[in-house]
Amino acid sequence: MYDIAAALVVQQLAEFLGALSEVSDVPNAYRIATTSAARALDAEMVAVLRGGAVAAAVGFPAGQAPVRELSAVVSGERATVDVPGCGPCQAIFAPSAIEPPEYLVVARGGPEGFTVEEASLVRGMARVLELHVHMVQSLAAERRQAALNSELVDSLSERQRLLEHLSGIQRAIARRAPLPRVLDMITVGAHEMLGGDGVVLWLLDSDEPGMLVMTSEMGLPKRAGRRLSRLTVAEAGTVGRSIAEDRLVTIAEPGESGLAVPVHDSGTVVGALAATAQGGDRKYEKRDRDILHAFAEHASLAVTDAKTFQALNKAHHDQVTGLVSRSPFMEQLQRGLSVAGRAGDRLGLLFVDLDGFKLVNDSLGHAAGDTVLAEVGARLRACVRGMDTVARLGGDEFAVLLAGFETDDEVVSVAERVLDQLKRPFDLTGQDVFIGASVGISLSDPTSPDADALIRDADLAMYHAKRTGKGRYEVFRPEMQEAFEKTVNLATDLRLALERDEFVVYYQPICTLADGAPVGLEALVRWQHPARGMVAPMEFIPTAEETELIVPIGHRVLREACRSTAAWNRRRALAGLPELTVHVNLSTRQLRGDTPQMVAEVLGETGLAPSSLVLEITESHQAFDLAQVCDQLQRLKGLGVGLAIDDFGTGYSSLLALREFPIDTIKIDKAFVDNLDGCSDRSDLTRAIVQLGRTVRRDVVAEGVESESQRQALLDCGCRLGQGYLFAKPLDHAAATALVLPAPAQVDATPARADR
Amino acid sequence: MDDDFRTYAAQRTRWFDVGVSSDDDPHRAGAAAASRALTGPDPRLLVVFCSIRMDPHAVLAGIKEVAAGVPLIGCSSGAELSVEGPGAGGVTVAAFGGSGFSVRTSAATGTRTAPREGGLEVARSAFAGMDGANQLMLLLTDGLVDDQDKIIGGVYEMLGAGVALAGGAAGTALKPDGSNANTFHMHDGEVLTDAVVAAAITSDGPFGVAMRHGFREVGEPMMVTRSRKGRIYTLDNRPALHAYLDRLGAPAEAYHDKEAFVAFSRLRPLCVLRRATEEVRFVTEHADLGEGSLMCVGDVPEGGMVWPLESDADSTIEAVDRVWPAAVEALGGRPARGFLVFDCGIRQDILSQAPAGDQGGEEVGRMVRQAGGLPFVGFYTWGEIARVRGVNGLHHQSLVVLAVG
Repeated sequence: MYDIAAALVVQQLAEFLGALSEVSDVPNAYRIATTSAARALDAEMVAVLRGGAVAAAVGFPAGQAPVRELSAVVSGERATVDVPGCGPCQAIFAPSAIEPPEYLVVARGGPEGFTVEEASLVRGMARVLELHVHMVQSLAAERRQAALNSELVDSLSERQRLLEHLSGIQRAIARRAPLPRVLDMITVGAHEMLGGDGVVLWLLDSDEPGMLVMTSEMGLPKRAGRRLSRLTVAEAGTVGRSIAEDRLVTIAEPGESGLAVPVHDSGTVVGALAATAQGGDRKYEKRDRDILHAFAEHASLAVTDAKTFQALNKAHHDQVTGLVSRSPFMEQLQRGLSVAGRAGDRLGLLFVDLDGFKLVNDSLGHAAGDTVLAEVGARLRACVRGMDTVARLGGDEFAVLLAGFETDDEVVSVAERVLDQLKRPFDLTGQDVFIGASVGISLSDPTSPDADALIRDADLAMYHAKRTGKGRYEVFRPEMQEAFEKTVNLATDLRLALERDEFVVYYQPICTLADGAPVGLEALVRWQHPARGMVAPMEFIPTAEETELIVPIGHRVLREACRSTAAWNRRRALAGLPELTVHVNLSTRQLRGDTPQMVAEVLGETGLAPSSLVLEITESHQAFDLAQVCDQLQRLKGLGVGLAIDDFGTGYSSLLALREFPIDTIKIDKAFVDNLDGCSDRSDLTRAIVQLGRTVRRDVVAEGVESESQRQALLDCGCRLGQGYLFAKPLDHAAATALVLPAPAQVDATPARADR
Repeated sequence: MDDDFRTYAAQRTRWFDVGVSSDDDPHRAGAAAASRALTGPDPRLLVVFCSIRMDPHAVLAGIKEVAAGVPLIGCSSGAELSVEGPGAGGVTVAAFGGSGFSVRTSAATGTRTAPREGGLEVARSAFAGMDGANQLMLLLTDGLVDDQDKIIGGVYEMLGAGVALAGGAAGTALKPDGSNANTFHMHDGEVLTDAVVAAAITSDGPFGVAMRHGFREVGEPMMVTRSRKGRIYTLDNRPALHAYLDRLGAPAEAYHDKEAFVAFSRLRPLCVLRRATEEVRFVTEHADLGEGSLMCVGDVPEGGMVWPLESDADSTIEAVDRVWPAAVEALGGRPARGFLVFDCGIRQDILSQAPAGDQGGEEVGRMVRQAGGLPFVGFYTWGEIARVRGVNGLHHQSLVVLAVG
């Protein structure tokens, strides 16, 4: 069995505390206290007296609590309170321990008064109320302090944020981030620090004085941003005044307030940073002005630095590609080698030389050439990491400096990427142009940091790559140096050989396959070296091509062959023999000059009938100007000379050449003729080529015929002419003369008659 | 706040009458009920209890036809009470008339979110300038407001102990989708929702207000050993749900089946012990059968005492016999002219679900007998208001009778 009276006190005190705990201000605490106490005690009236006034009361009509009567109760003068509608009510009260004292006064109708427990309850309630009010007041004081602290923290936090913005901008400037990005950081930062106001950076247009360009903005209404992208200084209001007067200008008008701070480049006003607040009653204070000033100063810093850097950059960078130019690259390379050397690291250098670029430049113009170079620069940059350096050394030569690689394979991988990238077509306003590149790789020796040597080695490796087929890479090996020196020596020797007239012409007969009768000769150059003896063409022609000595050599061979053939034909004519044709090889490099003019002169000089001359051209898989070659060949054709395509079937564009060029004769490469000894599918290919020649009504000459079976096979598939060891080796002039002219009696007689 | 202050002091006569209509047409029902109630001259106030199923605008329009300009308060009800028996779908009207009554009506909205403010609002200046020894505020609150006691608290703060309070909370009924239809109130010519309406009445005659419920305490009181707001976790240090069900001898399924629990608990509230009264706390369906906690409407303070209550149809009906004489007695020997009855909707449930069949008619029959031929109307409320002494004025699962002297 519970003590119900005691339980009631606990319950009612708990309810009282619970009700008070929901309020957090003093007036409501008093109000709730009176209501809750009245509820707990079934009282008609409860009041809180504080400092001689009624802080709260319930039971009287609102605002009509009798303060004097209640005060009399707490002073002990009265024991009852008159409550409207209830008459005199028994009253008790409990004081608080605080100053000024608070009194909780409770009055209830009926005669019975209050029990001991109830009196205890009232005291408990007064104590709870006192504690709660104290707590609420303390909390309020703490809140006020917390608000002050919060303001302080906000202020510190704002300064921190400002510093973060400004140091971020400084870092971006130091790292040479693109100017637009830095300026955007400035407007974004100012926008945030100014509580979301619109912030705009206006800069004077360098091309149009007096015109402002909105260079960066943040927080402007979209429509305003579009509408205001350009303004004259006169139209620009606050901004215009700030620029004209070189000072901070503020505006505070109904519906709009703002301020503008000038921006300088090396001390000269070049624009303004402006903040605007649309609508509301925004007032710009010192804090706001300071913030905008700070951002404007950073805008000045960014603009000045960018201009300075641009000027510096111009001197150090190639204007076409934007890449580092040779001189700073060499300095960078030297510095890099020193650093790497100290760390025991190696650097990798790629020497990139474009293949076929000259043709593009010559045929499509320098603008097209520059476009290709710029694109090459971009592709090279895309092949490497940010820490690597790409430079244009000049012309169509580039260099890539690689550091921080683990294995040589990584350097080779970059070279492969470079080759792949440069193999892709270059789009020149709709026209795809194909070039390519040869890459030489050299790797530094940590003990010998020599920039020139590293470049030279890479260059040599590139040269080697180019010599051995182009579109390739080579890693430098010491023997390349030797080979290069040999080449250099060879070129010297070739020049000497030209001077000493050491080139001789050999002739290989072209015969009818049916009876072996010669119908023509192919002129072949040989070098009669005074020390080395007879040098085969394969040993010197590539160097002659590279050094373009092939042009004078070719000219000499042509003239010699024409002269000899003219002589032979004159004598054969006397003997009633048919004229011979002479086939002379024409190098691709020779075709770049005015070949028809040169050939006409040679024909005129030697007296050879144009119809007796057949010029052999070789297909090239490298890009060449088809139109120019066609034009040259047509003009040669116009002279009356014949044209043959040599080594037919070995190039990539045999059929194209056959269709585009005015070719009379196809010479089937020896490789196809060799196939005729077997019954393989490849012999079918040879037959097909012969058949093709006949179909398009071209003469077909089989090269390298060495066996009777080959001769027979060629005859069987319709080929009429051939040359090769089966008929004769290349012959010197005397042997050739013996072959093509009649017996001595006839020979002797004929000239005699002619002499007469 | 719409103050409509009218005082009449010429003849100092008083009359009270009621009218009922169950006409399906709300307009006609309103007009008929009002015209039946208006049996005397100089009507001062109409109090309307209108079925939630009726269009209140049409009802008001009908009333206006016969009682234009008469101050009016009213509210929705799930079911109405009258001498004709319990009804669901009609209109009942009580009319206060004669110069012996002075009336000012008022209304406030937004009580579902600011109940105290609503109470302050309807009571502010309610009796200003009105004379008469007997003051009563007739309050019709909203049954969908959780903290109705705060409305009463607001009224008491404003009026003090000198004004008796009586009334009830507007009722409603379930819609076909299972939700409650929105309650409504009437104030003069307006229909309001989320509102409280009041009539401040002074009279030359007395008012008698009494409240009783028909519950019996079961066993000894139990101590609330852990609770928070209305949720009771433990009683006598046992899971509250088990202690409660054990005490009441609940069927086994009520311990684990929510539906069975709700069917059992809704007729068996808890009584929170007060110094001089008992506050009944309805045990809601939000009990947690898993953790064994109960949920009540209204606070059940930790450390307090509660009794489980039970009732049956007989004890429910017997409450009529106890409350009615108490209300009449409160008239101090002056004769009653009629009665307003605010009877809890739960009591109606107890009666309608009685084992012997619907006993609702029995209860009204008992009221008829107690009224002794005097007019009375009322409705089944969602909260009952009766304040004669002290600050506590809101009751649950009770029967409140206002005797008009």
